[in-house]
Amino acid sequence: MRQSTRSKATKKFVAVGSLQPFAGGIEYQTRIEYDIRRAPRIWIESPRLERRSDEEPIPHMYEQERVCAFMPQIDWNREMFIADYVPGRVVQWLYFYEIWRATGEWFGGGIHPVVPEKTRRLATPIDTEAPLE
Amino acid sequence: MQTPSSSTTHDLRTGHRLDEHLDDVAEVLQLDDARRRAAELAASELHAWIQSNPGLQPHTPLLYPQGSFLIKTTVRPRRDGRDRDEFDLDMVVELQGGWTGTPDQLFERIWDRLHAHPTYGRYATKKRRCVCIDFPGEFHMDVLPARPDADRRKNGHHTAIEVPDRKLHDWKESDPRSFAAWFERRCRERIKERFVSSSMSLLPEDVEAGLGALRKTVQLTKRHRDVIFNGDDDVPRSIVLTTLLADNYYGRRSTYLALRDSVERIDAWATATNGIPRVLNPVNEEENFAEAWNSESLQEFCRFIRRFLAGLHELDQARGPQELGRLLGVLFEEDVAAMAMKKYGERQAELFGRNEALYEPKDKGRIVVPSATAALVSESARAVPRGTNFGG
Repeated sequence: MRQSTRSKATKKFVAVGSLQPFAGGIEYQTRIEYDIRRAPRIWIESPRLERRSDEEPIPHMYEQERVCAFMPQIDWNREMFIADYVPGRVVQWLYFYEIWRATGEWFGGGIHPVVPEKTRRLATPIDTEAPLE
Repeated sequence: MQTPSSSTTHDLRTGHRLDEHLDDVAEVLQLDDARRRAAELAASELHAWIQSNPGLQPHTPLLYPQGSFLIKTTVRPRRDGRDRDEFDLDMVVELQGGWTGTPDQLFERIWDRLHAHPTYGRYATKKRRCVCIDFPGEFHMDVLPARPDADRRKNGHHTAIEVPDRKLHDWKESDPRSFAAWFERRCRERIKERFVSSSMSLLPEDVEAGLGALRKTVQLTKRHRDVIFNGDDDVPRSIVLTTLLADNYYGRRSTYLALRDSVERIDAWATATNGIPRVLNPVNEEENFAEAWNSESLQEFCRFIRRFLAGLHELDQARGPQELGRLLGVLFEEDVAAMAMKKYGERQAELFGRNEALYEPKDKGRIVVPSATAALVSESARAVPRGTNFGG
């Protein structure tokens, strides 16, 4: 990752850099934000990630906005180093994103959280990003 | 034909990142194991049926495969713009004991027997030189009646045969088993040549890998032809492509490099020749496989080869699986490309699942799977951290 800043106002650590899963392939400008209360959050700033069609949203994202390459309360804990963990997970995600774009199938493994129909109507979606304490 | 100016064994064994994708395409196109076994069983059955006929038995009939079925370069056929399930498999039924009747009589005799088979007989039809038996959903078997070619056998061509041509009411010379033997022999020779001047020993696996690469170049070229010409009559013949590819194969193990190099040499040869070049049958120099070529069809051929070469170069510039999948679709058709990319995806799932994937933190996180490719791995490469993709 190229640069990082600590923003005093929001007490947030931001790292940006370029990830290129395939040799000679597309480079993704990636932004990682970390605030101590939550698991790191990841955006792909460019190029724009794209669905395969209206009916085929990108798998393993939060709101089609943030990459979800690990389970926040299970794979990640505050003792871990972002640099050792996050870029490797994100580049793996991008690798399988590209293969998904080519085939329509997600080969990278993972889970899509299932919200039962009833609770979906009655309550707000499960916040997998709730503060860690 | 050009020869490479330098031959190194390193060259010979070097892989290319596109190999696995072309191998996937070839696998999608070729005769699957289940069908191959079914074909072998059907052939066995037909063989027994012919042999058990009292009229034919004294002629010692022998049934054997020929053509792409024999040299293992079959590709799923494409007709009327669609891929078909039924492969075309060529067989010969040779009356080893000879046949003193006319060519038409031989044909009719074999036809009568095959047509009388209780199960398959109803699927038999007559073609110009063969009896075609259609095994629905499985394959078409083209059975060619034949007798030994006594004259050519006297001159040392021990497998030469004569085949009835119903249109000309005459015999046609052929020697499919010699051609198949040449195909393998030529391949072996070329591989051995590369090892002669080096200190490395030729391993059996070098020959097997080389034969595999050569076969795949034939399959991929035939497929590209089928996609481009899409049922036109004036297509480059398979035998012409097979002969040219075998003749221009110089022992590379990499499917991509073997294909690209061979197509490049054929391109150079086709454009350099004055007039209409010939593609002589390597086991019968009186036969020109390309005798039907005129200046128009030659132009078509050159255009086809040149376009294929450009497509292969473009493939090497693909920036990632999406573009690669698209370009494979242009060359070999979208559904086939999609199946090939799925095989690739499945393989990645397996490799990552076995924790064999690395990434290069100092090279923008580039993913490397050392067990699967010839790619170089730096010292700073690390295992992709474990985790479960989530969200959505």
